[in-house]
Amino acid sequence: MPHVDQRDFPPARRSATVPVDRAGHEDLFAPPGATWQRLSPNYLKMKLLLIPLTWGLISAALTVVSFLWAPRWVAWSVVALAFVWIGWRLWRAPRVYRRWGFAERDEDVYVTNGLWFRTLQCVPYGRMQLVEVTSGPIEQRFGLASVQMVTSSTAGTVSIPGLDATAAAALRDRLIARGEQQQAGI
Amino acid sequence: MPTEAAPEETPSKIIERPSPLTGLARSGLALAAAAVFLGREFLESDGPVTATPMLLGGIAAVIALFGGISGIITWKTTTFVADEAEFRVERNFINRSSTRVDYTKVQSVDIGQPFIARLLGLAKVHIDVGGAGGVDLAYLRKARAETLREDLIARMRHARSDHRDGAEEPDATTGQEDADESVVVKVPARNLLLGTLVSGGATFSLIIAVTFVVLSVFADTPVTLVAGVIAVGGWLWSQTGRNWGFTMTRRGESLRITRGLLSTTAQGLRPERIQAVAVRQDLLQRLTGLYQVTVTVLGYGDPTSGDDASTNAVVLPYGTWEEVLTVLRAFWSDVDLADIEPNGQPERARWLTPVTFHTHTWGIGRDVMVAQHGLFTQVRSIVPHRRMQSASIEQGPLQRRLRLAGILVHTTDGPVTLQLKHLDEGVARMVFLDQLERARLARLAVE
Repeated sequence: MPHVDQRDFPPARRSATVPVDRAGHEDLFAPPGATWQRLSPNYLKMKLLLIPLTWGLISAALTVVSFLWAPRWVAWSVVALAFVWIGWRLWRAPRVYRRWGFAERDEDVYVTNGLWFRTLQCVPYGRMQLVEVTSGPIEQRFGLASVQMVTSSTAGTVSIPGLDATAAAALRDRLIARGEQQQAGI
Repeated sequence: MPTEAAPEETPSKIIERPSPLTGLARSGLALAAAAVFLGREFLESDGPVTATPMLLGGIAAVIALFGGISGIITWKTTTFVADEAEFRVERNFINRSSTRVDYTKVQSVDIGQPFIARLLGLAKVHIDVGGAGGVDLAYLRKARAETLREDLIARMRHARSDHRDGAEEPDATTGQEDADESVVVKVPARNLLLGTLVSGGATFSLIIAVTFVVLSVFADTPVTLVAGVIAVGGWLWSQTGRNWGFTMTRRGESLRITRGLLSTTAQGLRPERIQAVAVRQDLLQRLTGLYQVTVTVLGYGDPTSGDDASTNAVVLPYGTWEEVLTVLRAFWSDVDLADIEPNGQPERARWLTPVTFHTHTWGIGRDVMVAQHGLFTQVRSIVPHRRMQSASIEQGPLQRRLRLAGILVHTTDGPVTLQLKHLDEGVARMVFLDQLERARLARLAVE
């Protein structure tokens, strides 16, 4: 048992609400009693297009700068690094995409994402203050939209990207409707 | 081309737009500035035309142009629907967005009138939905803004009373004036000075002061000395002067805080609006055994930004542990920290927190969740289950190797954050799911 300032937290009976064992170990990021809904496949397509495009532009600018003002070997290594980086991102993109998921349950939404830094977040419908559907110009090309769920905590605000645009609007309306039924005072 | 749920789904939907004068209102100020700079230059110049006013005028004109164009685009592309069923704002420019606000969540509706907008008879409507963000509608005709505000507030009331008979609308302002006022806690000057002077902050400002003195002696410039005195004096003042004579009193259900040396400020505090509490103590303050208590309160805004707000969030400048417990009891009478058994981290978390390993503890009580972190500054965060907004499990690559995971409990924006840093994966999952269930039950119990 680690040291704890006993003056402040006198030892008490073991809290019954916190089972501290590994029994019934399940996947840390699985949705409880539901299956994940995944993002639109178009989101992956968009990512596969955007990664080389944005990183290509950035590294092109860097390359030009380094060819003009830096030794040759620096410039060439920038080019090499750019290729490696873009390749790495492209290779990872499908796996990152597959990590995204959300599950609508009776009273809350679970959202999971992240490949290296994984998160699983749960937002109760009653806590959503407003729900926003946004779609940038490129997203519109791919028929995509993202849904942002705003609670009164900035840190707890989550957004689900890359949903089919009509599905996103429908999701938004479902979220709001359930929120109105189950509203909770802040 | 897929679009949002079409507004024309029912014939009764009235789609509205902001005022066509939005462009003018946006660019108005810059336009006026441009006119002033350029106009004066042309009218009054007897000598050669000087470059600076021309430049300023030009810049203002360009800003006015952009403001005007963006205003026109806003007007053209923004529509909103406000009827019995929903309030929705659609923006359809480069970024397409559609925001829908739950009527029950509307906290307040403000009408703002910047100078130019007032001249044009326009107003901006800001809909506050609680801590994070809100919706702005700019600009509407003044009359429409007012009717919209009244409609929204009426619908908010209506929507709320549909669900519950105003349980969350405590009218603490009435009927309790005649109740007795009793002192909860009073901070003596000794504790205030002791807590301020024997602290990490005091050591830090002492170092700064010494640096300035040494600098001014060597560089022979009294200016730095003055600057040093002002900096240190300002810090001391904010710690002691503002909190001088700190008294918390209770009258009926609401608490009242008075403080201040030169100008006494009084501040009402309704316990049911408190979202979370943090108890802080730095390394040196351990010698004196004094703690500072801050709160996250709905409507105080972000306490880290403004000076007044950061003082407001302090509900016990410096007090003993007994006083901390007294304050906590005043907030939540049925919460007893002594009942909450602290849990540590698994031994393998030492890899990630080699120095601070012992300082991270967490515990869950019947009504609140507690987490403690920090070696130099020990912070204990307390969040009632029913105030939890959402929660998440986080796991980084190193944590995954060690089969550890962290939990974040989100509350309304403020000075208090609650995080359980490293838990065993299985425990984390269990605590996470249990906590969501506890929060759900706590919310239900209130209704």
